[in-house]
Amino acid sequence: MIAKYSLVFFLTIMTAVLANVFRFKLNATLNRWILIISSLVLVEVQGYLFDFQHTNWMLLLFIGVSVLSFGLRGGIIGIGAAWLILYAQCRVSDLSVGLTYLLFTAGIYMLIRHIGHLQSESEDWLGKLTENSRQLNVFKEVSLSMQQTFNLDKLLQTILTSVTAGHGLGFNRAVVMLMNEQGTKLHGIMGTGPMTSEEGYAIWDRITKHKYKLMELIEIKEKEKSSSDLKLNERVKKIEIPLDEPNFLAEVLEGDTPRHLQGIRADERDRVLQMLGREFNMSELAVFPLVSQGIKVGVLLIDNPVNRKPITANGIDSVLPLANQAAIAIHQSRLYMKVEDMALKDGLTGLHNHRAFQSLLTQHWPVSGEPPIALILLDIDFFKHFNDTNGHLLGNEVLIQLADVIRGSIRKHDQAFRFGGEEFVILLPDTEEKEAVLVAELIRNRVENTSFPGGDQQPAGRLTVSLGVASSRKMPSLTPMELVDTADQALYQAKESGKNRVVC
Amino acid sequence: MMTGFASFIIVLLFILMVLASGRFFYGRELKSRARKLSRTFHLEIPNMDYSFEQIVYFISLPTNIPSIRNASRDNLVIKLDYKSLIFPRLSGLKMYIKSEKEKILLAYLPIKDFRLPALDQILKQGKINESDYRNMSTCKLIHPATLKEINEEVYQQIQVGRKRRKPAGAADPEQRTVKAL
Repeated sequence: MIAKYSLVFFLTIMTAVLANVFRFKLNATLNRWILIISSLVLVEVQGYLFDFQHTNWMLLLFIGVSVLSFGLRGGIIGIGAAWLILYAQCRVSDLSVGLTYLLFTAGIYMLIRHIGHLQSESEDWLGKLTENSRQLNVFKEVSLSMQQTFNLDKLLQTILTSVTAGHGLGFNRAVVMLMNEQGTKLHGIMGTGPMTSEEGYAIWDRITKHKYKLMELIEIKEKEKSSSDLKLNERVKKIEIPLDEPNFLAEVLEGDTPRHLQGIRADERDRVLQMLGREFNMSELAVFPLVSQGIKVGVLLIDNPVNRKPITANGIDSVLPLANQAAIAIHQSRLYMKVEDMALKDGLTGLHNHRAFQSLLTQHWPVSGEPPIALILLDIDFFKHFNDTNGHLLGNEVLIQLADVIRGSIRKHDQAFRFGGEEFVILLPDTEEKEAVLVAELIRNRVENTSFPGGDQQPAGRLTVSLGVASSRKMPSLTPMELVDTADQALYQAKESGKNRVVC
Repeated sequence: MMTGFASFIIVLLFILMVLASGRFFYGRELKSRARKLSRTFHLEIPNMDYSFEQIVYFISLPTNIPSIRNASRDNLVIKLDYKSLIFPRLSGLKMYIKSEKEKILLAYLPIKDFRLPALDQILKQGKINESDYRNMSTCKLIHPATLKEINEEVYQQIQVGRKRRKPAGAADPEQRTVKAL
C-alpha cells in the first residue's frame, strides 16, 4: 500500500512537472491542451492504481482545468468527457454526479470570471497609472526646461525632443511651423526626426547606447542643432504655406482642434498635404494648432515614418497638453524677443542703439593678448543745414538710407549702431586700425556716390559723411569709453580738416 | 484502498506543482527560445542596448517621503510582474521600496514599452515577429545584468533624481545582487 501511495505521489509530481516542461514549448492552445491531458492522466493513473474508487470526484480536477483553459465551452465539453469516462470505467450514470459536475463547472467559471475581472481591472488601472505618470513626468520635465529659457530655438528644440524621444511621448518625427507676424503664412521653423527609417534606428541606437535621459537629450540636441536632423531641417526651412488659400493647416488653425490624417496619397487634392507626403514621405500624421490666449502661433506636426506605428487617439491626447504649453511658451518667447528688440534697437533705422553699443563694446573688449578692437564714429556733414533746408521728415529718410549703406558696407562680424542724432558707430572686433580705415573709407565712398533725397541741396552738392577711426592696439591701457573718446576726437579732426574724409 | 483525503492531497499536490514550477519552466523556455533566436541573428542578449527611460516613476524623485528618501539598496526590491498563475506571462517589472512597515510601489517598467533598437531593426526587416520580439526583450529584461543595472538606476534616482547621474553602467562594484522575486 505504501508503495502504491509513493508511486501515485511520484507520478503526480512527474505529471505536473512534465506538463510544465512541455506546455511552454508550444503555442497557447496546445499549452492548454497539455494541461488538460496531464490532469486526465493523473485521474487515470489514480484510477488504475486504486480501482477507480475516487474517479468520480477526481474528474472534477479535469473539469476544473478544462474550464480554466477554455472557459465555459471547455467546461461543458469537460463534463461530457468526464461523464463518458465515468460511465466507461465505473459504470456510473447517476444524474446527481452530472449535476455536481455542472454546479462545479458553473462555480469554477464564475470564480474565474470574477478573478479575471479583478485582474483585468487591476491591469487597466496599472496601465492608466503608467500612461498618466509617464505623460506627467514628460510634461514636468519639459515645463521645467521651457521655464529656463526665452530662447525660441531652445524652446522649439525642447518641445520637439520631448514629443519624439522614445521615452518622451514616443513619436518618430515632429515639425514646428510658425505663423508670420501678419498672420498670412506658416513658415517651417524646425523639425526633429529622421528622413529614413535607417536614420531613425541609428538615432535610437545612439540614445540607448549612451542611456540618454530626456533632459540630456534636449541638451545634446541644443548643442548639436546645426548638425542634427540636417536633412529634415533643410526641407522644413523651405516650407512656406499661405493661409489665405484653402488647406488643411489653415482649417486646423481656424478650427483650433487637432486633426488626424491617414492614408495620405500622392494625388491628394490638398496641395499642402500632397507636399508633405512627397517631401517628407508622410503617410499618416497628426497636426496640433498652437494657440495661446486666442492668438494663433503656429502648428505642430507629428508622424511615425520609422516604425509606421499608427497614431492613436490616446497618443493625440498625450501631445495636447504639451502643445498648449508650447503655444504659451512660444508666444511669450516672441513677446520677449520683441521687447528685447525694442530695448536694443533704434526704431527709425533698425540698427542697434546706444545701449546695445555699450553692452557689446564691453563684451568684445579685448583682454590681454587678444586681437585689438576698432571703432568707426560717423557723422553726417552739414546735417543741420540738411534739416533746415529739407525738413526733418526727409532728414529721417536720409538716416534710414544711410543706415542701409552702412549695413551693406561692413563685414560679417562688424556691428553698426545709431550712436545718437546723425551719428553712427561701427564696432569692429579682431580688427587692426588699417583694416578699420579701409572699412571707413568704403563707407565714405559709398555714401558719397549714393543719391540721397535732398542731397543736392547740401553745400558740397551731395550728402557726405566724416569718419573717425580708433583702435585699442595703439593704447592697450585704454578703457572702452576712452576708445570712444579717441574715435570722437578723430571724427572732430575729420570735420575740422574739411569734412568728407576718414581720420585715425 | 485509497482514502478520499489521500486523493484530495494528490489533487492539491498536482495543482501546487503546476503552479510552483510553472514560472520556472516558462522562464527556462523563454530563455531557450531567446537564445536560439539571438544565435540566428548573431545578437548577444547581455550586450543589447536599452534605455532606462522606459521606467515609469509613480513618485517624483528625489522625494521627501522619509521611507523612500532614506531607503537603502536593501529596501529596493524588483518584482517580476506576471499576468496569470497557471499560464504565466511576464508583463513587466515592479519596483518597490519595502520596509518592515510598508511596501511602496515606486516604478513600473511594462514589457510592451521595453524596446531595443537591435530588435526594432530586425522586426522592421520582417525577420522576426512581435512574439519573437517580446520573447527576446523579456529575456533581456530578466537577465541578471539588466536587473542589476535597473536596480542601480532606480537607486540613483532615489538619491539624486533625474538631473545628475553616473554614466550608464557605472554601477557601484560593491553593490549587492538584485532581488528579483
